Amino acid sequence: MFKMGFSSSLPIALGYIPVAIAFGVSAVAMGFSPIEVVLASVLIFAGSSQFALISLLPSSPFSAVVIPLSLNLRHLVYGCIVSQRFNIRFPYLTAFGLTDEVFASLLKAPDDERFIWGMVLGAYISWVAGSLIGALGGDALLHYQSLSSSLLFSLTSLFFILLILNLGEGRWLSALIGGTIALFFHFFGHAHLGILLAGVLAPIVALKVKGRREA
Amino acid sequence: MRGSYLVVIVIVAIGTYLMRFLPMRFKGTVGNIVKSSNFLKHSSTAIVSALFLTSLVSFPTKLGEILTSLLALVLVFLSYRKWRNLGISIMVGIVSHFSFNILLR
Repeated sequence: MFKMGFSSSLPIALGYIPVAIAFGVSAVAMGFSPIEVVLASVLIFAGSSQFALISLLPSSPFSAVVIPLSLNLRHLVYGCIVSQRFNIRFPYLTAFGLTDEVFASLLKAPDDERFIWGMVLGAYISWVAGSLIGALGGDALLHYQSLSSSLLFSLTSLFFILLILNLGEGRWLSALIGGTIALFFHFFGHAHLGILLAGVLAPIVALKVKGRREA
Repeated sequence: MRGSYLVVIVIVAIGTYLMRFLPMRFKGTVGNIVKSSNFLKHSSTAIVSALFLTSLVSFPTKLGEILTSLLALVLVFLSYRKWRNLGISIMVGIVSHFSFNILLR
């Protein structure tokens, strides 16, 4: 199961590498040392909050703590859903790698904690390795704009297929409401808040509508 | 390495970890409420939909980029319907996106 999870992390890894390289390049350009860059990826392992951290830390350490953590609030919902779907025996270990992409991929995964560990390890290696490459001079790789944007598209493809697989049992309304909420906040530059609210508000509204129809 | 930078990185790392860990650790408290309804399933679908759309669309939108992505997604969908293999479909997505990117540029 561990191996299966590890091989299933390939789509995630393909998408992570260009983003991680971009993170490494940006962080070094903003005055961070390669050790600090890699340490952030090794310890935090959360892309968007790491970008927020490096942009805020030079000017305001307080904001560099509060903003990244607020971006990660959606992980509370992820942890809750995964703990219901899987028989988790080692939460302190399993929780570490619960990123957006890992969470989404786990929704259709076999109920085995070792599968999660394999998937997390593959994603984690690609993230840390990408950060290291970026920190040590990966800006040359990012000059191939078409290639990096196409590699990044792997994450969109992944979410697309997972969405199709999750549309059963009349859940299209939740998808529609969740997507609309997320796009609305995304437009104003708060995609992470939108994702969090989508996970909380969309099921409430969808279940209310469903309940009224059935009544 | 600067001490203040290290402290901030460690605090964010601990905070992020706790947000992932605590719902798993205390799943009995929150979980029973969630489990009793269809909330869990609908929430998962809504989140995946949100992740998909926010990764697909970037503002300000560019017609060429959207068109490239939509064409590639059609091939992703067709390949998944044919082979039912996530890995193959992702590879189809990357290759087709790259090709359309060059063709439509």
